[in-house]
Amino acid sequence: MAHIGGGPLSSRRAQQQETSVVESHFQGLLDDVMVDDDRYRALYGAFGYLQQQEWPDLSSACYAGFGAPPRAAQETSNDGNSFSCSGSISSGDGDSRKRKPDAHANAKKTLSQNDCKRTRGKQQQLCDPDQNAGAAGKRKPERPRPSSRKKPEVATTGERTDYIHVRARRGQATDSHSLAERVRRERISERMRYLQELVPGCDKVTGKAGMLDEIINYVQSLQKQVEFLSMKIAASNPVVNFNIVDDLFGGRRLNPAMALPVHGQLDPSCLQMSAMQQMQHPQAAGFGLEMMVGNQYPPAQSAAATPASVSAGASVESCLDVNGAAAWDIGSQNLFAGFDAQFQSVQSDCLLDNLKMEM
Amino acid sequence: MQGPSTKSFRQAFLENLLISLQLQQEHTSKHDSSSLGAAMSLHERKLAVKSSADVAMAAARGPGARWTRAILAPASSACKVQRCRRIVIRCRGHKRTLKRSARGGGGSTSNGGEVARRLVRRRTMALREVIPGGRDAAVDEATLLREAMDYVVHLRAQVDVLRQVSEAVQRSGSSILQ
Repeated sequence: MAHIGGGPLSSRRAQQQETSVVESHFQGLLDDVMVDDDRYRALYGAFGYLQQQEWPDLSSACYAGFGAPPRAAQETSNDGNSFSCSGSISSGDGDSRKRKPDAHANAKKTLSQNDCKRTRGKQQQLCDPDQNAGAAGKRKPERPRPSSRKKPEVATTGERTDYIHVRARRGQATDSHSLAERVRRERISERMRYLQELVPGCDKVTGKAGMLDEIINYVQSLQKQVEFLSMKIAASNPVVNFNIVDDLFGGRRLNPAMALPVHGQLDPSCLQMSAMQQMQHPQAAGFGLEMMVGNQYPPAQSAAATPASVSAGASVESCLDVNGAAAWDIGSQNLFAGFDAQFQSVQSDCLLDNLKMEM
Repeated sequence: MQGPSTKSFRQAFLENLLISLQLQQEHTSKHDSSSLGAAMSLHERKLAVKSSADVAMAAARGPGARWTRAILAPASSACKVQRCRRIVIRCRGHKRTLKRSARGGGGSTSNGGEVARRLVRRRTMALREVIPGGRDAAVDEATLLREAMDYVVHLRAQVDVLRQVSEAVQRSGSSILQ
């Protein structure tokens, strides 16, 4: 049952023999198992598995993040089927490329292909009820943990899981526990790689702790940006109601906002502030909350605005700072009262055009 | 599930944002029966916008991720604004303490591997605090990473939409002034 391809170097013979022993062992098991379905499933459970439904989520999330055209849910799950199959083939190839000459690789490829064909055959029976079942909410709690201790559970929930063909590498334990552990680790490292591509500036850091650090920083900075932007939105209209915009989008009717007293002497400063805020990107201004965050993860649109803002006069920035400091003050409602009175009379087309332009 | 960079997601997000803002407004005007009920403080307004943006993002994302449930579940209760505010404050407080402890943790043990593992564990816990819905004990590391990925992508879309909204509002406001 051993199938050793002719190795070019004699120094590799020991390595090949070891792998051949391992492989023959596995192949023996597989041959035995091909007659027995339950043991087949159990063995693949021992090898480790990846749940089928995870792949479509991952792929659509990541590809969408990379700008690929979005796909419908059904299509992604279909893609996920073929993806997982090709994944198992490619994983077999990858392992073979690492340590074996070509003849060996060919033998392995055919073996893994056979297995994959068989899994695909098994899949297709089980896939369709799977896709139709597909409540995503059920996936997470019901997914069995990738441990060989849950082998019987894997067998019973076999119709919900897909199996990836994992090969034991040279010098590593072939224990079912460690195999499952390795699969789990590989999955985690793969997700860390995806995250590395998502988070800017993460590719310079190596190691799990550093990357986790970067990810945490990025998420926190994004959340702070959301807070800052919401503060800005709340500041620029004193009454948080989008009556006008609602009329455009939803056709709702609301009570008109209360008219607050206008302070005439504040109008010039209002004008100045609004004009400056239009020119400058707010994250380049002296708002302390966003200063370091803006520098670390500057959004794409601000890249053009920041050079212009840097050249702005100091008086403008001081004015903006003063207004910014006032913005945090609760008593600044008078300042924005001027906005409100003008906001009341805003033409509906204006806001609609602005929004539609952006969208 | 829709990709977060699609136009439909952004439009759905915007729509939800407006709807929830409106609900917030109605909520406050209902509870403050005074004539000046519309004058919320700046902080309240900001929190209203932020919580409605989060809810809108989670609602537009649709089912299929854990963090959406974590955001929507507390927000769907009766006392919407109060609950959201408390949760936000609690998350922030936890975040800060955990980040501090993660940074300040130097190991006294000699084994380098253990120290590294402890650092990674601390940071994983810190990540749990940041990602909504990561606090449940049932979330293992792989799921947590996937949730983080999903959440990051949608957060970015949310930031973009919010920036556009704020720019549009300001532009409309200033164009009236000029």
